[in-house]
Amino acid sequence: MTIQLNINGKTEIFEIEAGDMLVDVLRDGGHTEVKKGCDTGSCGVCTVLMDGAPILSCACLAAKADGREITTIRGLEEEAEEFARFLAAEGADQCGFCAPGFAVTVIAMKRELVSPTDEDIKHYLAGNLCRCSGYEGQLRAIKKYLEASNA
Amino acid sequence: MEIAKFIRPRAIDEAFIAVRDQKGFPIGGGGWSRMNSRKIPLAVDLSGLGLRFIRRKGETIEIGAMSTARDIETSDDLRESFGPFFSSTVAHIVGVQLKNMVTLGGTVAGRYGFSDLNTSLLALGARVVLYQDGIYDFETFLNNRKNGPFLLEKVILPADTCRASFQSVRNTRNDFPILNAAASFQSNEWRIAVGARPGAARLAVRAAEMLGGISVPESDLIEHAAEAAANELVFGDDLRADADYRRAVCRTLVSRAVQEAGK
Repeated sequence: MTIQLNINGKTEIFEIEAGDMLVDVLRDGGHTEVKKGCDTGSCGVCTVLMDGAPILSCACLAAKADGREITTIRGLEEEAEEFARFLAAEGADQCGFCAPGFAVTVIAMKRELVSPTDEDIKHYLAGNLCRCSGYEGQLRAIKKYLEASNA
Repeated sequence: MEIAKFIRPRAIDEAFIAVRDQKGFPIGGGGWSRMNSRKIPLAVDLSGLGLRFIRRKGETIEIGAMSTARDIETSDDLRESFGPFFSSTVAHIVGVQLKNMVTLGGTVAGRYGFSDLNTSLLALGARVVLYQDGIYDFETFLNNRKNGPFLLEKVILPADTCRASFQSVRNTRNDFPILNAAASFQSNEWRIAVGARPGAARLAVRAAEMLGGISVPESDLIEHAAEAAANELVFGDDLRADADYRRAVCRTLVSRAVQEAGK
């Protein structure tokens, strides 16, 4: 079947099998900035925005995304680079494998929540696992990033 | 999941015919697609039917089948009527990403034993609307597996003044529950539901009757009712816990749920 996705503002056409998952279609289509981690909907590495809302592309049928707007980390480059500076400053970016999905979720949270508390942040990001367990540094980086954004 | 053909109908009639006459498999959020090895000749995506809504209608609140867990978590209408009951119910679904995918319809229609949401809906006396079929009490729907294909349209909740509490225990914060329980006091009546037994949620009818119409029960009465709930419900074994452990946990969760709802 044929599907049409608007990826980072550009329309792309894909020929897919009806059971293909979005992460595979994106990566096979050259969007390797979307990472594949657990592939079971548990780790958050594959997070993309679908119509502005964060979802797990490894748990989403590509056919369900037909006609939708998909935003990968590449489509959020400016905000992601800014956030990455705060991650680096807190020593929170270790192996970096979780970073693309993590940054997408943080940016979605920044857009969705007004003045989130520590608990709000932890709750929102519960679906993003860091195998280096750098959660405390990530939390500091997020708080400083949000403070700087609101200044 | 192996899917031979995928369609996204634009009208509920069209979707219903595909499900009923062509044995189509309804797709809600589709979150289980990767983990499921079923072969599906026809997948029917319900996301084009306008079933994503949470709205107040008279003395009820209607939740469309395609409403997501995140919609339920953040709904002002649900918070106004039930306080933090629903946000605490869906809090353990792993992360905002999955909450944006999980649908009410998928959870309800699947009658999943591990579901937190189904336990809370049962405690509130929800009704389910099956398209071109009828309105069923959620308890009846959960207890009697319906023969033949059906299409869930929405869930209806009584929205009059209600106090409710959801409780659960799990190995880690975002794991499936070992056991969950919900209690509500509405229209001078208690309802107590227990889920993840590990089977689907069931009402503890005798326990609720013991509490009668007492809005704020005494501690002793709560403990007796919790004991009754543990004795009247059936528990089983799975990889998370055995039946005896679940029965012991049931007393504590029911007691906590009634105490919190009674505040």
